Amino acid sequence: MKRKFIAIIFSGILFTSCEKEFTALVPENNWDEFTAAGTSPLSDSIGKRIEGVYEISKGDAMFGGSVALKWVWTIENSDTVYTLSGFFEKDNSYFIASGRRTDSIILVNGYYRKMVNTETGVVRLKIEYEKGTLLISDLSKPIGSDSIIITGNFSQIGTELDSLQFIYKRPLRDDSNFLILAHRCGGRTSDLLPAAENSVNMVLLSTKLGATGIELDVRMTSDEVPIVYHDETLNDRLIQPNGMMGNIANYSYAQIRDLVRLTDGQTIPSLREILDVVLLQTSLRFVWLDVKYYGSLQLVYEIQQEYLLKASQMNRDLVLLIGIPDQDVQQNFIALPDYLNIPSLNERYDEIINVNSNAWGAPWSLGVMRPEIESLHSIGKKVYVWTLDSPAFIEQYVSENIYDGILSNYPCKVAHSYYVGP
Amino acid sequence: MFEYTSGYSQELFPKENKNSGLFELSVEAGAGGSYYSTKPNVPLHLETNVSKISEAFSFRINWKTDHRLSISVESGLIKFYSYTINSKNAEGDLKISAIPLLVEFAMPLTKKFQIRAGAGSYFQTTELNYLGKVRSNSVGLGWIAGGSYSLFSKDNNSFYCELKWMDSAESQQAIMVLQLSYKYTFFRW
Repeated sequence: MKRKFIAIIFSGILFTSCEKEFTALVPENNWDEFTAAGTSPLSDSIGKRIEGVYEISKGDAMFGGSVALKWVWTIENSDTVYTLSGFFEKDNSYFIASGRRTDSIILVNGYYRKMVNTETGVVRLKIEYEKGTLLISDLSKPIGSDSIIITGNFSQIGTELDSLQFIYKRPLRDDSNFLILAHRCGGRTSDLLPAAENSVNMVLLSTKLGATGIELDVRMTSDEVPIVYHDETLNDRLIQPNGMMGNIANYSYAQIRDLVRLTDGQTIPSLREILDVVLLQTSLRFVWLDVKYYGSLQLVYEIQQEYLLKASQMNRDLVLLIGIPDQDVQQNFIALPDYLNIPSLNERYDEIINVNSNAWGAPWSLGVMRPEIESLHSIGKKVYVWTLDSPAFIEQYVSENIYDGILSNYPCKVAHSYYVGP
Repeated sequence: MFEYTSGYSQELFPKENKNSGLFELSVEAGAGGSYYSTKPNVPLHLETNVSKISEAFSFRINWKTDHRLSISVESGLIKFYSYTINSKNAEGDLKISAIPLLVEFAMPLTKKFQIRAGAGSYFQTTELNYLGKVRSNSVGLGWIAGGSYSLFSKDNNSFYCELKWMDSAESQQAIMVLQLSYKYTFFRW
């Protein structure tokens, strides 16, 4: 009896120790009407007119009562790619779609994803001529409440199509004084997004997820090339296993570039590569350089200055802050010449004045520290809260109307909460 | 039935000989070959040539008690696998080896055959020779299981052959080792 019991326990341990692999594949969405002869890509001016806050009158059980639609551009493979993103109220969900049109109909074709799990599916939307396309096409006419009705359907992979309907209510809230910051260039590898964290493709995805700025993690190779990578070691959480183990700082940039691939097959990018993408291929206007290594910050500072100059020459609005997470990094920051004039973000409230940081990176777990925030605002400093993922807290912190930005793994939820407004 | 089984178990587990005593301390040293038993991790985007067969060395200290179980601490040097690299920029190679530090329990099933199992750490080293040389370390938890067969035993000396599975589970690497070992019992009480 005892042996049987031990055998059962052992079998149970063996069975339950088998790891299940989760995926959230972007579904194929071949919609004949979307690519039919006579359709053409939606122009930037028309796409911009679709932006706004919409009430969801059909499909609300799935996505909630409202959606914020935003028109986004990126430059990919030398082409300008326009995307219509939708940020839903429920389940940290979003859709990413492209648009085409005929003379009388606007078509939107894409996919949705719920970040609370791995659910994905297709989204197909239309704006009929009399229900918005006529109005949208006339750039001189203002868009009022109920004047655009978007209808269509969605379906989870392998299920039947279900109805979706959005009714325009009002424009998106102005975001010029609020940053929607995406963690690790856009999101984490563990959230099964279509790109690995801290990668070129994730930066390109970030604006489609609602981000207007990003945070990234800076490490240093053995030959002193700043790279963007979160963990201290090479491990199968972030890379395709290849036998290389241990501290990433043991390896040179050439070794990492040639031999290592992120889980989605991309190379680990250098800091310059990422900032090139930010500056030349997106509309992102803020980058938080979260320094994850202990050593000289001279090279990071030089790259920061180089890209601030480039942005200025391009008339690009871009804030690049060196992140100071702890005392050791601060010591290295203070060692830089003229550090008081180097743009930085400090996670330690008491040190902001000492090093003249531009902003405080406030941990969300401290709660809404209104007196401290108002004190910093009074001397021209900004406050960004991190890393806020709980939907309820995101809504609460947005409604406080006191932060200059929120860093989250779910920028789509922050985008919905902010653009829809209290 | 009881007499038959008790007589049979006496045959399986014979009385201690005049030299065995109740407790023993012994040391072992072994050498042999290993075969990398799981899928080797290599850069999928490059041309590589993998070698899964290597040598293996072990060293063990054993404490045999008056019970059937004995406790051991094992270390040594094992090699998981190696591969050559051919990329457009350079050629090179990579080797992965480890020094295990394992606590094991062993139990004789017959007079000559013994099984063992245990767990501990594998101190792993990557040696990369590609556009420069790197030696990088990491630690992973793992386990061991195996069996040994006594070939010769007299007084304090014995020789046996051992087959064991050494699994650095945390890094998903495992080898099968076949080796010859020598054991010297240096203390009895």
